[in-house]
Amino acid sequence: MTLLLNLAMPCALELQALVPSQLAKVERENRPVGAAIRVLAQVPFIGNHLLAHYFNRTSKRLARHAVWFRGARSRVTDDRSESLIDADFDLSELLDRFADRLQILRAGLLSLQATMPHGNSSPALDAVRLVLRTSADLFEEILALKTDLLEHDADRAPREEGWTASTPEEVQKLLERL
Amino acid sequence: MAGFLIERIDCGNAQFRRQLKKLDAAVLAEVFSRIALLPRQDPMPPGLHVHQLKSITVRSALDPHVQVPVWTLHATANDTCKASFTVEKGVAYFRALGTHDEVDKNP
Repeated sequence: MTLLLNLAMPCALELQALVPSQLAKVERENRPVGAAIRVLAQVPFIGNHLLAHYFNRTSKRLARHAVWFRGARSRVTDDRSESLIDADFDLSELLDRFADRLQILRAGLLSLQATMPHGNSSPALDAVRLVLRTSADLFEEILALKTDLLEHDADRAPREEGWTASTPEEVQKLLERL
Repeated sequence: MAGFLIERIDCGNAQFRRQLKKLDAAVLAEVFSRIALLPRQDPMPPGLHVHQLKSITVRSALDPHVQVPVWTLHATANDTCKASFTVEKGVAYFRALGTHDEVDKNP
């Protein structure tokens, strides 16, 4: 895992370089999970413990990635420079797209969970539930990083006078000016 | 939000305006129709879901050395888009626009 420890490097440069590669890494590592879900949905009883082992490993990976993104968030909120980090919203859009793909992965897991026998707890079912929890944690960290980036840059964005309105007509004029 | 009166809205933040410009025309029109509901309303229209974020403060639009609370509202009716703003001297200063997704951790 790449660590965000280079405090001498400007925050914007560091995050612009590391966030896309970290997202690519998460995606690369978890691509087989989607395939595994599709296969295992067809043959749900193929090795309950093997399945549990596989998803428990996936959960650990996702939890590590969530920690990485939590670290990235600290880097953003602790940044004291006056530079914008994501002036063109490239990182924000990347994070959004990744969150969408994570939702697709979660939808697959939910479908798999629905096919598994409920009632008595099984290692495989518990493991799928754990992946659902850790993927939700990662999802929240990804969107929280995006929010932190937007608020960081909003703090530092230039302001222009004359963009005010107090009536619906004036708001309409603002819209037309955009 | 009784007793909380916003007289004007302000879209002077350059990043906020750049985000607005990236929206589809229909979504942009919806966002403006909703933020037009803010001024001079007490209480706030409940459909906007205006609330203060408890855990963070942001720079004041009036004095960058001061930290102030930040508020959000649902900028689209389907709740997928949230706008953040500060409220200072009766003016809502818009800051950022973002998607609003939630997941169920224990489905």
